[in-house]
Amino acid sequence: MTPFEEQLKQAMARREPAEDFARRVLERADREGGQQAESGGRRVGGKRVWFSALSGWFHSPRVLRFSAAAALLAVSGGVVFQQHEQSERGEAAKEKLLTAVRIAGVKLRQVHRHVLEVETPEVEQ
Amino acid sequence: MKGEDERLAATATTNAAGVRETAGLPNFAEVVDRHKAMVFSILWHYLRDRTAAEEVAQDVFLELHRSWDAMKSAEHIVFWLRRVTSHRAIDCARRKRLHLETSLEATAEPTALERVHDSFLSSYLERMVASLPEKQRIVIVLRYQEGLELEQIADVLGIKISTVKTQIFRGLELLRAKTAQRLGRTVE
Repeated sequence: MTPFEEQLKQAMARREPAEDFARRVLERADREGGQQAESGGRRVGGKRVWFSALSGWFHSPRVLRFSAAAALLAVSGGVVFQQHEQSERGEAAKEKLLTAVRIAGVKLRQVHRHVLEVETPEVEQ
Repeated sequence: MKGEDERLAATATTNAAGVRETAGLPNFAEVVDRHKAMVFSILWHYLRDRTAAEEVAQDVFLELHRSWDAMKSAEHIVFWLRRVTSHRAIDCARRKRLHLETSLEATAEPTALERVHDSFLSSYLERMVASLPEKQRIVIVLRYQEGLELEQIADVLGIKISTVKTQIFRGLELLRAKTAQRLGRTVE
């Protein structure tokens, strides 16, 4: 260690907090423990067992892996469903267009026939 | 960091009733009394705010109290305290937006006495450390206040040893340069 580092080590010496620090911490810990006891739940060493167990379960690797897989499945399902919906809408639009074309074709033929009927007598005269 | 937890957890034993037992685990009050200076000093050197340091130190011990069942040994408690305190210090500085990363140029000049006496130089160095960038500051505190090895610092902060080395090197360079500038001579 260089002299500068020695000086730095000296400068960084530990310091004591206020004299009543430990008392205040213990008081707060007691108060917190009392509140937890009032709010229910079996406690061991100042901690509720059910909360700890639930928290542990949520943080277990198996649950995390399962959650990730479920989320992935939900997202890919959503994408497939959306593509299917789009395709269905496209098909419906195509059908409507074909119907419109067919109707237009029928009308056109009717008009064409009518025109021929009107034109034929003039030719005969 | 996780590996360290697992290693320390391995020191715990389980009795016939399936209840975890730990040999020589002190009680909570003893732990507070024994480690209050360590926790407070890490926060003090990082935050340079006595009130904030005491508040956060209390929160750290309360969190320890809540996590007491997970403590495996006295060694595990110390490791846990250093890790949580370091992260709390960083969070607190960020949350409160304490302007600790002000340029070193903005740090007050040492008085004439500081140029002469080592104790005053120490006080000056403390202020300089508190003005270092976040990562450099916490590794310098853990290295020179706690005397931790590079590997231990990496475990506590959950970073690579190479990062610890770089941050210490940069921090020391900055401190040396500034101190040399203030003292008007090279510092080794």
